[in-house]
Amino acid sequence: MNDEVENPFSLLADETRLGIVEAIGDASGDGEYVSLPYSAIQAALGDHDAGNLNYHLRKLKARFVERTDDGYRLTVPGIRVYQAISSGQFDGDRPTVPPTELDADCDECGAPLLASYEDGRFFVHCSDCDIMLHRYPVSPNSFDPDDVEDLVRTANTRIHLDFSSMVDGICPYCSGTVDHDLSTDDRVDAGVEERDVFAHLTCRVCGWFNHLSVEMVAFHHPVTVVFFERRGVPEHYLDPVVPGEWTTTVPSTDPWRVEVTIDLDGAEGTSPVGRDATLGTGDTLRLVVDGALDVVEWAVLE
Amino acid sequence: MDGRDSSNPFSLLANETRLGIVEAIGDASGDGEYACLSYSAIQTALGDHDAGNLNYHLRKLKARFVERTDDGYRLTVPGIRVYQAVSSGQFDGDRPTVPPTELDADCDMCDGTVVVSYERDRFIVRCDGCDVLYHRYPLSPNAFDVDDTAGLVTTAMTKSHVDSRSMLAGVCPYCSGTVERGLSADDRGDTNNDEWDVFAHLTCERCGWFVHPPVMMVAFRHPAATVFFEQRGVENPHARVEIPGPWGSTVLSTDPWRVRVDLTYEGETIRFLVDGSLDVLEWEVLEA
Repeated sequence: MNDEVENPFSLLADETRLGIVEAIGDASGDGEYVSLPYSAIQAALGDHDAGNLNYHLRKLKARFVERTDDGYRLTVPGIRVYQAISSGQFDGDRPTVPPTELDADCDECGAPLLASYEDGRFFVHCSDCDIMLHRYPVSPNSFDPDDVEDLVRTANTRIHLDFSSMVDGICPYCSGTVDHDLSTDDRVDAGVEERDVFAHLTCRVCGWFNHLSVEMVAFHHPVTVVFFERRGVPEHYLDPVVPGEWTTTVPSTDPWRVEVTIDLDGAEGTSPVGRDATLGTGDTLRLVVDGALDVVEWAVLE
Repeated sequence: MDGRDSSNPFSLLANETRLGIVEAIGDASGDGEYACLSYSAIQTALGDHDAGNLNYHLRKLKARFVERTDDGYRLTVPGIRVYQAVSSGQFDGDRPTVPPTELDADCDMCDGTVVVSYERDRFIVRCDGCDVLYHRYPLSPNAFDVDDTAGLVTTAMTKSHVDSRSMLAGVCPYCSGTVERGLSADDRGDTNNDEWDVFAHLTCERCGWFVHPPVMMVAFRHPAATVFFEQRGVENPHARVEIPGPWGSTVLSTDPWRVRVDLTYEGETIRFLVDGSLDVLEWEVLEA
């Protein structure tokens, strides 16, 4: 008995096997992952690909495909492979979006902000002072390249959700465990001297990572979402520029304590969605972040 | 020509050298960076006999799964996704399972005990008395330690929460496709629970990923509910198998859909109004 685990990359590197994953994935629709009978898989592959179909199904079994009473269906890793390879499906060349002016100005110099999509990454940067607000990998088929607002909305939603997942300790892509850390060494290349404490989040399994200014931990926290929503700015993380005065101080580095203060001072939208008197009604939200990137304390100040 | 579209990404990757390139670059990526590998490093990683026609295969992958940089070759975003997904099929021996294990929680519906298990890649929470199914969620087999049931619960519940937040925001957590959102009173799923009578349907238009949670979960996953519970001393409310405290839902109207959901904790209530697109139109912490 040979117990050696077959490398999953070698296991899948075959046209019939990836064809099986594709056929079962394509047949799955609204609200269910199908089981395909042997004959349906055979038909989907076309006769000349179906040689040794039994042999290939056996190789995939338990890892990427499983047997059910009705035939064969994808396991969770099989579904992940189907989803991932599908993200490489787009027509023609890789889409790009040239730098396009947003209806928002740079905090630092007042020049218009630009959004673009190049090399599989979403960018927001200042047209004048070169500050980079965002650079984030986004799948090329997740937005309409002719619609910059769709790009900004999709990318900012992804950033918010991925980062929230990383902070919660789970890789948004492979579900691996995420290590958290803070550091003052790494200024990345945001082009800003002031943001001097960075959160490091790295997945132990697949290496996916975020290196963001620590105030982003406060920015994406549920209480900040609620604070803005109550002031008539729902989903504030979708906006290229967020209202209010943001201040970050570091009262202690051992243990780490980073204090982020958001002062709205009258700046607000029109129709608040939520009401909660127990939160207080002040203009200022203060959050304290520790070295594990937990928000250990927050308060709305009068 | 084999008759299949040459741009079909499944055909494109169905080759040992090409998936080997994705694996080699992915394996070389470490903490805080995605590696660029030089041609010779890729050649070495593949072993000499796999490296025949390496140029040809790199060209095939280019722009879709691999891209050229000044320092060599790196994975594109779809390339990273493929690396992550195929890696999730890497585990030792048989597919892991966790046999039904009692949790320190009682069933809402009867006096039975809540049990958790992991079978066929699904995390399952059910009552061993009345058979109510609280949760069933697909989770990658290498995302947790099979000997640590508490860790499994935290990972699965947190994953289910962040995935559902993404689906509710209209973005598929796995392929980033657009998500269709709706409410339905027809589908009880197989929860074996008559009290849950309105279900959210969230389905990715591209890859078909879906969740069908009962409507009170739409309210429970809203940031205002998270803050409500945390403010009252419930840490990580979404890592628990049950909603902390009693809840109730009332259908005010079906055309258009308006559902009111109340979540109560220690005498205080937060009330949500959910519409047919699963948007929370209003929420309010009721005055005591």
